[in-house]
Amino acid sequence: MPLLSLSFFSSSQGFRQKSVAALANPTLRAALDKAGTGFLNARKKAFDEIENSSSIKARAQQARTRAIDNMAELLLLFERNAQAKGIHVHWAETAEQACAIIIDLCRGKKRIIKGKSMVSEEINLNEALLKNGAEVTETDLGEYIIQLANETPSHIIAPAVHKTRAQIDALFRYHHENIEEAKVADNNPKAQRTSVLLVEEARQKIRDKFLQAEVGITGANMLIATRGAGLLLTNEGNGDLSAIMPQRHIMLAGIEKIIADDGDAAAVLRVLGRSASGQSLGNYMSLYGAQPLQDNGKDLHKDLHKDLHFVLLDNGRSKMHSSAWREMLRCIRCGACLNHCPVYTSVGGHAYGWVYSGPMGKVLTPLLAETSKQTSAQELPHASSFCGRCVEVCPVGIPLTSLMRKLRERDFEKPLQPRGLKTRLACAVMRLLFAHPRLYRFVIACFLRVLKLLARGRGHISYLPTITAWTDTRDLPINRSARSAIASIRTSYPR
Amino acid sequence: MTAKKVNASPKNAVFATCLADTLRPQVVEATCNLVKHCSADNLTPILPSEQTCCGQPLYNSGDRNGAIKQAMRVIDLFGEFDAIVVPSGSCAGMLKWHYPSLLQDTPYAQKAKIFKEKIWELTEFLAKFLTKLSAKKPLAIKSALTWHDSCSCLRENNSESCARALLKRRGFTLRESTNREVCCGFGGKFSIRHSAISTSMADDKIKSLQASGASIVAGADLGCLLHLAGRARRRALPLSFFHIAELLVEQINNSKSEKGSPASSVKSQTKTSKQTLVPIGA
Repeated sequence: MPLLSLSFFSSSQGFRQKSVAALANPTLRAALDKAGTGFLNARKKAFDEIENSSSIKARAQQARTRAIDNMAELLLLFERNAQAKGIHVHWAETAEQACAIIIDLCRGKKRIIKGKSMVSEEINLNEALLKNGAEVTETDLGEYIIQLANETPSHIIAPAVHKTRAQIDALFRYHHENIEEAKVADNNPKAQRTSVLLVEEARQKIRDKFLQAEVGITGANMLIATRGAGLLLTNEGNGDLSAIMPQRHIMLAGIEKIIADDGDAAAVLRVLGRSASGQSLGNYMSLYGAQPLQDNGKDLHKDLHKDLHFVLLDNGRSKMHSSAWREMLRCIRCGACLNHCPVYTSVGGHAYGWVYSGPMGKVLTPLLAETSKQTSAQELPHASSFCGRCVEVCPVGIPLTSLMRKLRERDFEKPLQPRGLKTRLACAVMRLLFAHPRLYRFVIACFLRVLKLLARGRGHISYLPTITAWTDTRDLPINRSARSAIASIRTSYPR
Repeated sequence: MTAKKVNASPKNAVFATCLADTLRPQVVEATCNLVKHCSADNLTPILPSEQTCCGQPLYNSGDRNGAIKQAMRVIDLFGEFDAIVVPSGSCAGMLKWHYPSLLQDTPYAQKAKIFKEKIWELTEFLAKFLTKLSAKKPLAIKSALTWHDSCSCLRENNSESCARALLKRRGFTLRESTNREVCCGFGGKFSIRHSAISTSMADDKIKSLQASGASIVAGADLGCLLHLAGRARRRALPLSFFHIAELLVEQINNSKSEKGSPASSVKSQTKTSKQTLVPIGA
């Protein structure tokens, strides 16, 4: 039985259809508009406040480059150092393997709590655990909301950013049956509650789960090789409660989260919070596995009766490492490229069809193992105007637009698919015309006459046969003279 | 080869760009006149008639080999000039920044590096060399205007201050819009392949431009301007769009008539000299 159905990645509908639907959804647009500038202003302020922000970014990029350049050795060093302290390290080549390892670690244990982990979304972990009869509770507020709504995250940092407060209020009323009515604002059960009341309500619900949990699963922001420890940054403290309260703590991370040492980790920390949410650091930062759990097989923390397992996922990353897209492994998942992307802020994360959205998703989704096989992933790198703002804000200097263009080039080389055929045909025509300037001039001259005819005396046309994708929403300004500049100027010009 | 035998230096050329050449010839004509006006001995720049396109549509479609061939052709055609002026940030960025990386593993690698140094985005060129303008001439546009920053001028050529300096130097009233650094949604084939998102981005951009209070929008990239003007027109919004070359050339045309040497300016055959400034798409 395949554990992983990847139901998350809906291949029936591609990015195009989903984006059109998203644009026509006023509630979603309202939520995105509201979230919009908050992140941007906070990030700008956070970097403006420090004197040498460009050297801080350069240092972070250097740290990430070093980590990726020495990924294999550092991962082995990490494993040795972790194992020496009695911490378990598991390697998962695929999403299925990672799920199987975690299911095995949860055997006989029913109640599981989770901190926010995008890698767990990547492998569809919740679905796999639920199939095995476990009870899984997301403890990050955003993840908790989308779990109740049975949705997927639409942003790697703010998973429920697509939801309005009214929607969350309704969702909580539906799921939280036995919440005291006193918590309802102004004794008016119909009134929309404030964010503070909603957060308090979720806190109460989740607290019970913390107390009963048998296994806690969290992600990791970095895996520090020289320590053999995982670093976790959160704002709500839920990650730490998930790690500390249950007996068993599983830290799930992609292998690219490796970092050489404390100095490099600090370099990344300086840009991570600032880029993500404009915070100099997250509210809580913890190292797990920093202290030895065992010494010569002797349990050093009997009172804590803890055990810690690292599950390290490949899922296409090592293949990326030896590919033209290696630089993508530098990504620290700060989400700045999403927040600054005009396509992301127009359509939201769900249109991208998978956990990774925005510019980083346009590169990652077609490259990571399972999704790379989905044809709908192939469209993502084409959905960019190449405005370059993502490249500008990336704190570790990933050339996202160049990587997207390389994916387009890979697409172009592939055996023909219907859409690929269209692109290749257009390119073949362009190649032919560019190689024959006189033919080009002739075609342009004809084209301009046709445009003038269609314009019927106006300076624009409203319907252009075959290129209706332009004229469906825009007029096309035309050249009233119907002569190209070169055709009309050249006779009076030195040649 | 058409562009030859002009025995003065420096030899300037104009890269028309396929969009301006085809859909807005006034921009090419204005660019030629502005470049001429800037040259020390009022020398007419060369406009090679074999030019077609910079190859960006191929490059962004994933046709790397096609783009490489086109880049080589453009370098062959323009390589002999000392300065190549491009009235588009996007095409200038292609010639200047993308050619060297595209050609790095070809016999043209060195040529591309030399070529790069000769490329001038129009506003960059004018900000440096257009010093002969008289501030006393009546303005082509008297009401306030706002500037549309193209992504390539902002993030590839870093020339966003040039256009502003030029417009202010000439006495235009400039009102800044909001969200200046956000893309207008043109993006070449993106505007067709993802038309719905592209249009939504145009609407966002138009909203920001309108927030400036100005009803006239000037820019240095015809792609953005055709897209925005087309959208504004479809929505029947009271906004007019112009390329900066069209606005600035009116000033030198005016000053030329004073000097009494109008015959020396570059004219297309079809235009009458009395033609007034018509907004894009009108």
